[in-house]
Amino acid sequence: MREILHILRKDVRRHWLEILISLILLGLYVKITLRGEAVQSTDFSFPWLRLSERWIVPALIIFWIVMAIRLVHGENLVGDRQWWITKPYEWWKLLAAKEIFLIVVIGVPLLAMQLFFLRHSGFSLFSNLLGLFNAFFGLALFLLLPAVALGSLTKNMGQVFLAAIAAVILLLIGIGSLAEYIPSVGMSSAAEFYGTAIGLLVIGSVIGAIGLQYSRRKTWLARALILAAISLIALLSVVTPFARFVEKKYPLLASSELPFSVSARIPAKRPDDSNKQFPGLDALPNVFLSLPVKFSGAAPAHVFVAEGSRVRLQPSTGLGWDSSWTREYLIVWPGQIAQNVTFELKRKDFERLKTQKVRLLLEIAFVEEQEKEPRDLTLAAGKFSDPQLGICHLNLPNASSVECIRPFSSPGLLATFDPTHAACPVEENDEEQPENELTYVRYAMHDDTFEPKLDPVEKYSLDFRRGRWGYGVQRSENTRRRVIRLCAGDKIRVAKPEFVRNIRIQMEIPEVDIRQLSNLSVDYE
Amino acid sequence: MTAAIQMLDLTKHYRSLFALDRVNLEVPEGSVYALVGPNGAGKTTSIKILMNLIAASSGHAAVLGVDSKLIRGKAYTQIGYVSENQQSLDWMKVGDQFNYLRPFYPTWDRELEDSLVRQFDLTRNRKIKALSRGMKMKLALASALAFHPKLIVLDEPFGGLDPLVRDQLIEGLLDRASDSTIFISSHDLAEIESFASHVAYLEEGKLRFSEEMANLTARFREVELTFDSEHALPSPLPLTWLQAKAQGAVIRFVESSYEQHKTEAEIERLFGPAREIAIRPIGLRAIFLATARKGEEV
Repeated sequence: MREILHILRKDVRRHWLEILISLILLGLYVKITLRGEAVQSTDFSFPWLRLSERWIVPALIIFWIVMAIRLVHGENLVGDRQWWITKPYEWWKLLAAKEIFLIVVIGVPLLAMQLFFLRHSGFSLFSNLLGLFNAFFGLALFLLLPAVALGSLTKNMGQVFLAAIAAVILLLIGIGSLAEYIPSVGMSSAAEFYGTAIGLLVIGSVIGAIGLQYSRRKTWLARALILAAISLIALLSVVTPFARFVEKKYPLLASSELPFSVSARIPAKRPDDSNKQFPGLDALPNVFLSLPVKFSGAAPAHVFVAEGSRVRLQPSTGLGWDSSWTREYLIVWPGQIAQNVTFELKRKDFERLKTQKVRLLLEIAFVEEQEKEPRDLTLAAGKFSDPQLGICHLNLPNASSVECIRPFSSPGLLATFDPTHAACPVEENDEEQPENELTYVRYAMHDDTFEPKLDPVEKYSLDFRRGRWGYGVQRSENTRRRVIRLCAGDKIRVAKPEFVRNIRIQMEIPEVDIRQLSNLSVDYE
Repeated sequence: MTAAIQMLDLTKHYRSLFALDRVNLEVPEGSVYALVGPNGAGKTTSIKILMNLIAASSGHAAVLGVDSKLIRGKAYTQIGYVSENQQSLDWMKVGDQFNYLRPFYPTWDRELEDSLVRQFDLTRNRKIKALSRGMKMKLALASALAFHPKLIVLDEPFGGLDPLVRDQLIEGLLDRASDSTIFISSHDLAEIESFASHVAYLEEGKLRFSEEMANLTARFREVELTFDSEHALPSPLPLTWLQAKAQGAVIRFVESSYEQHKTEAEIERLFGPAREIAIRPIGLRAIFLATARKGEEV
């Protein structure tokens, strides 16, 4: 331990200026965050504040990464001319000294800052300590560990810069290739082992590379380990039949078993397939198509969250087209819901398929959730505290939402508001129309384990405006804003979302002219 | 006497290029052992393998009885290593480096450190990056001597230094390292000759010879024979004769296995009586030149 502390003291002396800058940046972050809380997010009279909010976090993170790399470079692990190699350093003591440095110089001030934020927001410190350690562990895992690995595998900042560029290019090409060439990779979460395997490969190879470098200084072997892990991930991505996993995880329901009814409404045929509103889109390599789908009849207290969708276009002759499984973002609430299922296909496919009518097959994978422990919550004037929601208040300038703060993350939540029982009815005017249907808010159950966070206080909002709150492309009487006004005394129903089952639905639409789906005007009615 | 360093068939190759080719060598404890040879001969490669800075392709090396592949961490508390190529902690001051190193070595001698600082004219308050090359080498040597290492390994420590600094370093080295084995590589023969007890000659990765300095200088002699009439070189030449040349009535060669009676008898047998036989000892430089040329001929 004596030697570890001795190395640590040397590093603190060497990096004193960086430590000071890190503390100043952290102080600035606190100041900017507190100032940002005091100023409404919609108030744009503080451009410097908005600007500094944007740069302070990247500045801090980049600075910490550079500091971690320079710290490792202090006892460089690449090459054989370094001063320290022939001194009686024991590798694990050296590594321990570097880890302690990062904990003391980054972790401890960060912890102090986070405790201050929690205290400032009115949350208990003691009950959130574990969460804070988790957050720092996440920061160490996702930020500092890669930085230490980068420092271990490079000789100087020039090599770091080149390696970072190579990593970014590899990542971009990799992600682009995955999406382009590996069908259904967007739904890789359906293959649970895949995420675990990738996590283990990434973390294992990074820790292995650091260990190899510190214990044996086998630079090329350590680099090869990282490359081998990347290759294995690519191979795993190529050979995993994601579509099969999706189909297995989300069993197909027969039409008679559907928990809601679903129908598609093809827009009226357009005179031509060119895009009059956005002519520039015609020059894009991909064509975006939207299929308006209407859902109704879902049971009360149940919600269906779409995880992915797959569209197939099958012409009577010639090659068809398959979107494969892609992520989908729509939620089916009780009541009637109209949503667009959007998909994109290459222009050459569009040109090929638009010449004839096609059979359209749409599949959507859903997670069904139901309300658990529902209760009525009466909104209070001013701040109020709720064990599930955290500390909340009505957003007075925009009274359709409740603004909340909570340690670390938003809660898993299903919230419902019935505007017909609103305490403060809205006067109808030309631009606004009072909402008259149940409105909903959902937050998924959140797994915040090891999520890296600077500010431990999560801000989230229960916004009860429905999807049609925005102006459509073609504004008309029908697109008047639907508004609700929440007041003190209003009741909202809150519940925890409880997993019920995974399901998959399929619908078939014969004789579709795909040109009719290229209308970008969003119609939520 | 046990060996402080041992190399058995030590080989290092980079693809088809052999930096070391089956080198066998033993450095006796307590010796001042010089590994000499031209640039690129494999001296630094040998030392790097001994210090476990690089791995050998094949063969075996041991340092203080420990397999060189295991030399790391605590093993360096007994080895002082100085290399002209080594990077230094430039951001530190001289005194800081000593303060930093001290706790790592159980045998660190604070008085010896002070004495070395004085002897080498080191200023504790000076930043290392502001030191000249010679002063940096002095600092490195002082750091390598202050803990009474059993083995001191020096890789080309005197390269590019002015003679005054070089003499100071050698003096410091010999004064303070009486209990140590010194293994030093150099291509400067003159500096080695003055203090090495053993010498090994490495050329193109091969060990040409390795022996005690006294034996070496005793067995090499420059021989000049003067006859009354012109003489040609005999064929074949004795294997121990190097750089043999005939110039009219004079024949010169370097005898690499000199024993007075034996050498004189051989001359008598090959040429008959000579008018004059002059036999002179030669320096290390001449020995290596003669050996190197023989190597080229081979």
